[in-house]
Amino acid sequence: MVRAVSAAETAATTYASAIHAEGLRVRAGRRMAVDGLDLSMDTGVHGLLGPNGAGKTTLVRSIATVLRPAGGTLTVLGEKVNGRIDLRGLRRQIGYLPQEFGFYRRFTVREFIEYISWLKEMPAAETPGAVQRAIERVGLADRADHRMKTLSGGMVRRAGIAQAIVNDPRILLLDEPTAGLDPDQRMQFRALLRQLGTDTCVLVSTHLVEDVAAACTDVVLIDNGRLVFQGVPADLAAAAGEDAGAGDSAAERGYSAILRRHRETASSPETAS
Amino acid sequence: MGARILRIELRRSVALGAAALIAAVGVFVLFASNPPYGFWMELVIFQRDILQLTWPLALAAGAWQGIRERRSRIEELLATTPRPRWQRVLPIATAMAIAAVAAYLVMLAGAAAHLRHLDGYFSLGAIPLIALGALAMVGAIWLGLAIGRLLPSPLTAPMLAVIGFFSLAVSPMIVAQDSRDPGTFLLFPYLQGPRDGGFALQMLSARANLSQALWFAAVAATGLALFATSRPSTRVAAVLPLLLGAAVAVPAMPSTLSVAWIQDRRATEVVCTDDEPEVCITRLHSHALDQVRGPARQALAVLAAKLPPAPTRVVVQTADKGPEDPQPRDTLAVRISFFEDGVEYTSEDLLFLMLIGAGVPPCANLMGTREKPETEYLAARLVVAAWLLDRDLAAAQGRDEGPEGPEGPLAREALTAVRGLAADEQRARVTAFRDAERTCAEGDRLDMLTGAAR
Repeated sequence: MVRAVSAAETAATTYASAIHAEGLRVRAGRRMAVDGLDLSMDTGVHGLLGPNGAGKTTLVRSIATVLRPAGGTLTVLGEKVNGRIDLRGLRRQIGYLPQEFGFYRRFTVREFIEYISWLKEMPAAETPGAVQRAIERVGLADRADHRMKTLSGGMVRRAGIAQAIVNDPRILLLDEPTAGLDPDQRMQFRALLRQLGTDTCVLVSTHLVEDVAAACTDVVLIDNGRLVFQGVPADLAAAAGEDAGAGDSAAERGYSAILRRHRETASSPETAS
Repeated sequence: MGARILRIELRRSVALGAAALIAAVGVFVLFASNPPYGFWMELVIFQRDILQLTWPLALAAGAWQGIRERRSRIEELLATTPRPRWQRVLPIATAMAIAAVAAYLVMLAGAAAHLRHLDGYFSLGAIPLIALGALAMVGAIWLGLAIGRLLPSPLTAPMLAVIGFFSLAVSPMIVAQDSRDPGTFLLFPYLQGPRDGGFALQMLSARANLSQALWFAAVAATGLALFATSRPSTRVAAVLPLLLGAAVAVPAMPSTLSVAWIQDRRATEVVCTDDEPEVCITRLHSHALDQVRGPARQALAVLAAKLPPAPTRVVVQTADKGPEDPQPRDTLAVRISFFEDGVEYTSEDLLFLMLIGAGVPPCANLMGTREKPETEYLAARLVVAAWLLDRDLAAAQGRDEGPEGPEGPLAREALTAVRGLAADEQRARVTAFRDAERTCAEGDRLDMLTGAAR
């Protein structure tokens, strides 16, 4: 599959990593959901794990430029997001599937993806081809001309992924992309992720540890708005060690073991800040 | 702007469905609330009048569309797209404007089936009235988009329809301080026709149209701006066109509505047949030229045969307010208030009508008043028509002046008396009658015809 390459992409990159956060603080409502996060991510598939309320969605939304950081720095594709008024250039290179993916029910799949590609300011000449390609990549070609409202939950999710990748983003943010997908579709989706990860910085927020273990090149685990662990999936599995945490697979056991250890150290008096 | 996106929005938004609904409601009201319209201008004015209903409907349609982003929960996704909001809303605003204009024009086209004469006179004064009606609809639909966006509740649209309708119904009563309609009535989207009726012969002055256009455009601009702005601070600026429009338009408006309505002079001008003998009719009724041509020429032939020297052309005056001056001798002038009341005249009826009073219009000084007409005078005029046609008094429908009126029996009696005279005497008396009519000289016309013969 040939990927369209824009001039901005062929320009020499002057930044160290696609996404870089230092002491990042982001508010979600009144709560500081991301609170002093340090993180660096580059091309590849990054699985973002963490318990409910850990700040996963808030982190994704801040990278997606929905939320402004309340403190620290967030650099995306070399551009500091803090306080910037004009995010237009950056937004052209972002693909985003929100946790709650809204869409226009009366549009067909093709029309909706085309609409989003227009909003992403893609060149008109490239649009029909890019739309078709995105639809094919998520396996919705046979439903391309059906109304969005006729799609099942899993198909809606796939349409959501299609709109996120239609502009060949350099940053792809997927918040709970596998919710509603059946096992077969999840396997196809993992294959798609691996493919995308070769030239894109993909951040997948999920609860499903085995998705991360199977498809990600990098695991990011956060808790209470802070980075707890970052490493390859094998490290996650190895982290379980001898003390068996809860979980059915090595990765899940590693996940719960790391969390438990982190919480223990965080609550012990000598390391608490 | 993205023609493809506009096409998608046209097909997938509420635009066309709302347009069809509004047009259907409008056509229904235009049909149901009036007998068939005699003239285009009547329909055009009435369509502006029912903006009291269609304007709030357009407002509601806009609001329904305006809450789409919220209802679809797509705002989060849209917030991350690079295209600025004002560009994003252009296709949907355009689609809705197309819908508003289409609704207005389709409504007019649909209601045109309720016109008595589709080929009747179309006043140039109707064009700004139609254009401004469509502009008012665009303003309503854009304002609705803005309100729907600012108050994204499913209740917004139905509430706007109801509140809009009732406030448009009530507000004129508040604005009008006395019995006169102030010129600021032109600020309202709907438009009442001239108070004195005669819609077909009137039009709005250029000043009224222009000030109203400015105001409607300002309303539309503010609606669009409110819908398109992304920051609350710029929303304040969005109200600027409205204030500017009011500041310029209100002082520019005519002082009263009655001044705003002016005579359509083209409507009362006469148009004539190309061939001789010339038959002419006011432009307002030009569609009836073919109908009157035959009887008119027949009337000229009858006059030429029985009462030379006869006129050589016919002018059918149909307007309510026609020229009062005496007609030249070479012209048979007949004033027929027909067509308005929907009575279809036969050629026989028309021939008879044209020969009443030997083809000379009645003299205002002799006719008496509407309440107390001079029946003897009117009877004399009928006698002449029957004498010229050499027949009994025909039944000419729908006329104050006719054999069915109170002057009928009088006329029948007089006709018998005239026919009792010698042929030369008959002609001499009718000729004398006609000469008197031409100058509107005082005198008892019936006595002039029957005299001692009675």
